[in-house]
Amino acid sequence: MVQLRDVTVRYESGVTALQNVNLTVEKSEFLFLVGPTGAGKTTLLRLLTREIVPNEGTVIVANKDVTKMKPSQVPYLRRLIGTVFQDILLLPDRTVWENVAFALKVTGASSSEIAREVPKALETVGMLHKAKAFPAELSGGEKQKVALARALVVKPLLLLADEPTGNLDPTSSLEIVDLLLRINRQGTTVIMATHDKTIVDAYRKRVVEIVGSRIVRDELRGVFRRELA
Amino acid sequence: MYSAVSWLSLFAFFLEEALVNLKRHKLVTFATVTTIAITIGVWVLFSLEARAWEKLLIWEGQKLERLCVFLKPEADEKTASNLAEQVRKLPQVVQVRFMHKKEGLKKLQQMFGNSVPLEDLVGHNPLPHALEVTCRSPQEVAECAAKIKQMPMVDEVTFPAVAVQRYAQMVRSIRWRNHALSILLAIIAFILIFNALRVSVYGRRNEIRIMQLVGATVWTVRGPLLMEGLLYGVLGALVTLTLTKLLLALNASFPQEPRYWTGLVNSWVEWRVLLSDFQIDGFFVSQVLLLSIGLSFLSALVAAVRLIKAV
Repeated sequence: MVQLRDVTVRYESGVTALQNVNLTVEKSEFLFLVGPTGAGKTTLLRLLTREIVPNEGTVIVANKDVTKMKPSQVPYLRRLIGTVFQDILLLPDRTVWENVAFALKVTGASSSEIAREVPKALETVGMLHKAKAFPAELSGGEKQKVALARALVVKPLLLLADEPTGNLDPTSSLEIVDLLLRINRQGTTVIMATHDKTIVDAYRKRVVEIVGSRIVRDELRGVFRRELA
Repeated sequence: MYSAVSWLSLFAFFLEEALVNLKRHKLVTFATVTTIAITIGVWVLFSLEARAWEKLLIWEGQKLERLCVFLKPEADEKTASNLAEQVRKLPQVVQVRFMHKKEGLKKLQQMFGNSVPLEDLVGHNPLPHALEVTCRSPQEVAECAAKIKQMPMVDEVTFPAVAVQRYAQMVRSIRWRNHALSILLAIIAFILIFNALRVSVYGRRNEIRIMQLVGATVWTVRGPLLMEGLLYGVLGALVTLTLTKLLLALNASFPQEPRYWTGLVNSWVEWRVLLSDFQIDGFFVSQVLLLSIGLSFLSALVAAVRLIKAV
């Protein structure tokens, strides 16, 4: 599903965000991306959505070489990828339903398709009962569930979650990760960048650790390292 | 590739987003629409003024083909009649009218007003007999005048071409001034629309980020902004048409007392000259719509391309 070969990213400021990174993520895999702040986790995720292009190396997502992709093809790549962030980007003046439907509308989905897919996505994250609520009426965990529903409604092959539990209480965090796991079991590849030791240790999934712009550890049933905590 | 249904859905989405945004920034919307309406409104006034001047030019222009042949004082009616025959034979001439010196005096008397009897003042009629000659076109008047001047018993040949040409030149300069001012106003409106859309992009930064992340093409992201520009244009045109209609109604409500308006060339132009036989017809509506929408859509297009890049 994802392949990074000898990838190096240097920002214009001269900072090297990633250096000689090699990583392969198979279809339907669940991966925790750990490492200290500024190690390069977010940069790695942004490479996959082609928000940034590497200075060296190759990035392949769903059999497509992202580095050689024309800008006009990028939107079609992104339709294969769902994204969830720590800063939950919900539109405050729209209901939960409208926020989820927004992702479909921008891809030209018909109203019948929207009416069919939005409830499914909300049902998956357990937020259908709050479809008419506005984001201000929701808790942090609920907002993140809505953001997750919006990522899921386009039926992505790959789900990228950048610190999705960063602003949540422990119970909400576990709910979100449970949801991600459930989505993963349905065949979606999930890459989750996190600082949450409890979660990583509890689920014992594949852990890739980035320190100082390099991958220093890749364990199949890994744990969070004490020194990172 | 998008299907027809997708295009329709996207169009509905653009419209919905644009309307949300117009409501969200009411003050900016009001200011932008007002600016467009003022720009187009001033253009309408300029057009009316130019039309009024053109009307006057056409009226004056009717004299362009004419010249006046004054005979020598000793020429009698028979000589004048012979001369008229000679002039009529010229290829440039379409009509010749003999004007008796009594008729000439009558006309002159009318010009000076009837309070002072000219004949009494001078003691006799000092005017010679004259011929009023109409040529085929204004271009042939000078040549014709030169030929007539060579004929016997002709004292003087006059024609108003120079004055009318100067008048036409003035109308041309008025048109140029109007064009220049219209362009200046259009530039101001363009900048204002651009800035309104910049505010719009800032207000919609979250929507734009989400759209980009969920796989909207760059033109889909730009779509609501273009639609917003289009709506500004439609609203601006509607305001202009409403104001024009009000102006016409106002003019019609003062049928007895003509109102005056100082034209931008410091000339007094009668409202009635400007507004007489003017009506809001299909051509006028389409012109206003085209200008208003064209201006705002162009501005929106530039704003969309400059402010929303493919990422």
